[in-house]
Amino acid sequence: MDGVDPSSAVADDEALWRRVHSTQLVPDGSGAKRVSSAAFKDPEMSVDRRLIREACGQGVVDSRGSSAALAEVSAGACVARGQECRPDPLVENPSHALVIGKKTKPTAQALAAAAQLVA
Amino acid sequence: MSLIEGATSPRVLTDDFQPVASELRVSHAVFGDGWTRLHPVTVEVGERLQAAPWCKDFLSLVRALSSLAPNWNGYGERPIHPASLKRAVALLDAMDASQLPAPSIVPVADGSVQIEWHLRTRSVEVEVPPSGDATGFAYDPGNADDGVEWRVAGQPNDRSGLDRLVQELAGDERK
Repeated sequence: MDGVDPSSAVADDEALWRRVHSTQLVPDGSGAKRVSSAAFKDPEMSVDRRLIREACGQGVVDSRGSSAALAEVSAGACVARGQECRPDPLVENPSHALVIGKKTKPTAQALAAAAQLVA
Repeated sequence: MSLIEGATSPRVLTDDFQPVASELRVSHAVFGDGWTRLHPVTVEVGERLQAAPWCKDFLSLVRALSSLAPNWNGYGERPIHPASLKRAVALLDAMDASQLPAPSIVPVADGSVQIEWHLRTRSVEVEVPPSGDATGFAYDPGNADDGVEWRVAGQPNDRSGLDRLVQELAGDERK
């Protein structure tokens, strides 16, 4: 894995990936689609660290079922909302991490606004 | 209007979710929250909601959410609770939403649903859990920290908060 430790602390400038279900993409009022804040409400929100995935040669997160998109949000954006970004590598997924903290409505909305659709 | 061809009552068949009696939770280990797919569930669609030009599309979304299987996004999500869907539909009917812009309805990982409007200068969201109060959240896009939250309704006949919801949506037009 090219010297990247999956258990290493998540840096603020790291990109975190989260799958977005097709039903969580909604009209944004200008003819485009946006991610609903509903996608960012889990108090222990699973994400994938792009840095680790790329080091593992895994590329983008696999789509599953009706997951229609992949949202990218920076760890710094999460930390700015009082969240803790904790590495949580799994045997089957070394890039797994958790964004831990209560997701108030303003926080969930801020994370949704910060998210970029990358796939 | 009904999505059941030939039906005359204002009901829409959404899916086949049915609560399992506590003593019969044989599928608990599979579904995790005591719900399984056994019998149809109907959602009543009131006349006011039926009059909305977007009603058919909205009910298609309701049907889609009702069919989401456990773990629907790969993060251990619960299936959408039928009570959340029923309450969301009842709430829209109670607020007489037929003159309002088309809402979206999206699933939440805990089995709740969220009704959303994203307008030019105002976004309004209503989270509808299976029980307890629905809560509204209105904000200007780009500045959710200045948003306002309020209790929308706990019972179908409870109009507290519904008028506020309509006012928040009308606020977009005033700007």
